[in-house]
Amino acid sequence: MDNKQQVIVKSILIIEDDPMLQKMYKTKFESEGFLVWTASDGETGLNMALAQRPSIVLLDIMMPKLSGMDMLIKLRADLTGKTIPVVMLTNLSQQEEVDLAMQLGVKEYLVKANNTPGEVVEKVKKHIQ
Amino acid sequence: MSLLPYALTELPLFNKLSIVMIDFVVFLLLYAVTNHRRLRDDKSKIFTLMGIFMLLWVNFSYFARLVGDGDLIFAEFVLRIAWIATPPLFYCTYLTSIYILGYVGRHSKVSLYLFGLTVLLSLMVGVGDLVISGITFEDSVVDIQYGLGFFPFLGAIFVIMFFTILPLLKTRINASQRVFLAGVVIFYVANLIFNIGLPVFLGITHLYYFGDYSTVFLLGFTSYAIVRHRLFDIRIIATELLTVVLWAVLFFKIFTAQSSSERVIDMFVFGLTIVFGIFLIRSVMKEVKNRQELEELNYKLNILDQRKNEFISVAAHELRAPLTVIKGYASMILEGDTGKISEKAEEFLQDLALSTERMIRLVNNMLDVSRIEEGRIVYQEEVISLGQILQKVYKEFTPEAKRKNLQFNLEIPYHLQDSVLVDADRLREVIVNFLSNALKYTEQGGVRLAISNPRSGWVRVEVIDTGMGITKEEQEKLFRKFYRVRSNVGKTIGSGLGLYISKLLIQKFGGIIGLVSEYGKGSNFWFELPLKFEKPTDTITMDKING
Repeated sequence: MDNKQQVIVKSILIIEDDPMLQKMYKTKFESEGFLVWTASDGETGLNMALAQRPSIVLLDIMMPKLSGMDMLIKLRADLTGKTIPVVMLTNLSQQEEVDLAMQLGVKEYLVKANNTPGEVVEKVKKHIQ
Repeated sequence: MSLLPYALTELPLFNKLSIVMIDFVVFLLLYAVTNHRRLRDDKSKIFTLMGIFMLLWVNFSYFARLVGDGDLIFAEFVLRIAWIATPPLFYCTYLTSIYILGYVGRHSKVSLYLFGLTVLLSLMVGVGDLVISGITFEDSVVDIQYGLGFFPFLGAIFVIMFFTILPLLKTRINASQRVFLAGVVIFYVANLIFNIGLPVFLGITHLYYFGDYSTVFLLGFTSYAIVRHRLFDIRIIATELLTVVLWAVLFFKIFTAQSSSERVIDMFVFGLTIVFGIFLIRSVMKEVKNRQELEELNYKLNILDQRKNEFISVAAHELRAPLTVIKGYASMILEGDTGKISEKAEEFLQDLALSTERMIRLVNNMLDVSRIEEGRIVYQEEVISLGQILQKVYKEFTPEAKRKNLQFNLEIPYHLQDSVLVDADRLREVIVNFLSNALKYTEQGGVRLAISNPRSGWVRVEVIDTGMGITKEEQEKLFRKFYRVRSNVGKTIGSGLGLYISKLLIQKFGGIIGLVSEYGKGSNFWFELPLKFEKPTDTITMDKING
């Protein structure tokens, strides 16, 4: 029973500094059966990503301590971190940032305001095998 | 050999002409600066000073070659004057640079140190053998024997050059400042090659004048930069000079008159010319002033437009976060994440979601318009089914149509080809924009959302309403930025950006956009996109259907 569940359970790490948004996405992903970790800044997020190895990371850009972009660069520099799929979820979309994110192997680049949590879950699921 | 024949024969014609030209230009500029009340500010004074040192440098270098053959000691004396003028010339170029950039206050300490350095350098050259220990004259070329202090001297000149160029490279400069920078760079490069590189390191001295005469560029480009800064205008000066010459000619003509009657006529003409000349100068001045004011106003307007865009970007971005939360929770409750809710609550929530969606659209439009215009926007293009997008949007708008008691239909033909290469979210915006407009401006009847293949290789989406329609005059303006329909509705709503952005987006995806409307009979907003076939067999099927 235990084993079977572990195969099915998908985990996600949500790195988001706005507490309201963090709570909202956490609730939605949990209701969709995800195992959810959260972090409120890039630094904590990076450590958690490397320690927990989630199935996917949902990453904001504008954050204290370590921005999403810098965190992504550090994550990709790590041997374990290299393979973790990342979806960017942000309210800022600068061309240069999107280019950089795509170069760093980001699966998708989502604008928060244009997607409901349900749509975010739907799009994230596409990227988990 | 006497001096005069040598000056006429031995020195190249190029030198003589250049010297005359440089002197003439400098004197003309000095005349302009000293004669214009408006020009007696610091920038003009420094520019004048730069001109004077330039004259000293260029002319005395030239004189040294003139007298070199006859009197070596006198030639050395003359040459030293040219060299003494060199550090101040470079220092004045530095001052002009920081004045043109408006950096005077910020660099006051550097300016002071460089001034000290300049005085020291001039003294080093002027007195003793430290820099110049003597000259020799061979084959009509003056050779300078350098002292021990020559290379430190050169180094110090480089320091001044460095501080001149640095602020110009460090800041974003405008067009006229760039012209000044070009003048400085040409002057420096020519000096490095012809006055330093060739004579000092390769012993080629007879090309020195290319370096000296590159001052023309510095002078010309600097005066252009200052002119563009409203210090003085070359058109006014030209008019004044011309008028004065005309007055002088007519004045002397009075004295050469053959008879007294002719003299009276000459005096009359002279008087008239004075009056009209003054009018002419005044009108030119006014014209120039008007144009300058217009230019300045234009510049300020551009800055203001930039600020406005920046403000809108920041404001819109800050608005997005709370809107995301409202939209998110509304959608989650509607999706049943909190359990079952009453029908009434669901209806309210749907309205809430719709209003939030409208607000997000508004914010997005404000953010997008400048970015689309400047091509900074990110498109995630993929091949998608247009019909599927239509179905989704149709579903979203059904509650609103219901609430307004409007008929609302979606028409998708059976054999439809609808694969297009677009950014799905962006294209959705266009359809949403059409639909929300149609529903907003239709009070009775209905709205139809239709998709079809108008001809081979294309797919067409239409939003047809039974609203008030749009007059011919307004149809033309409708896809313009910030334009809002006024005449046929009592009120105006929205930012006036939606259709403008729609047009930009459809054009970006290689399509066309337009509307068919008659006042009082409703409107048909449409766009067409080229089909993207994934399998060539589709084309064949398509042709059969059309046939």
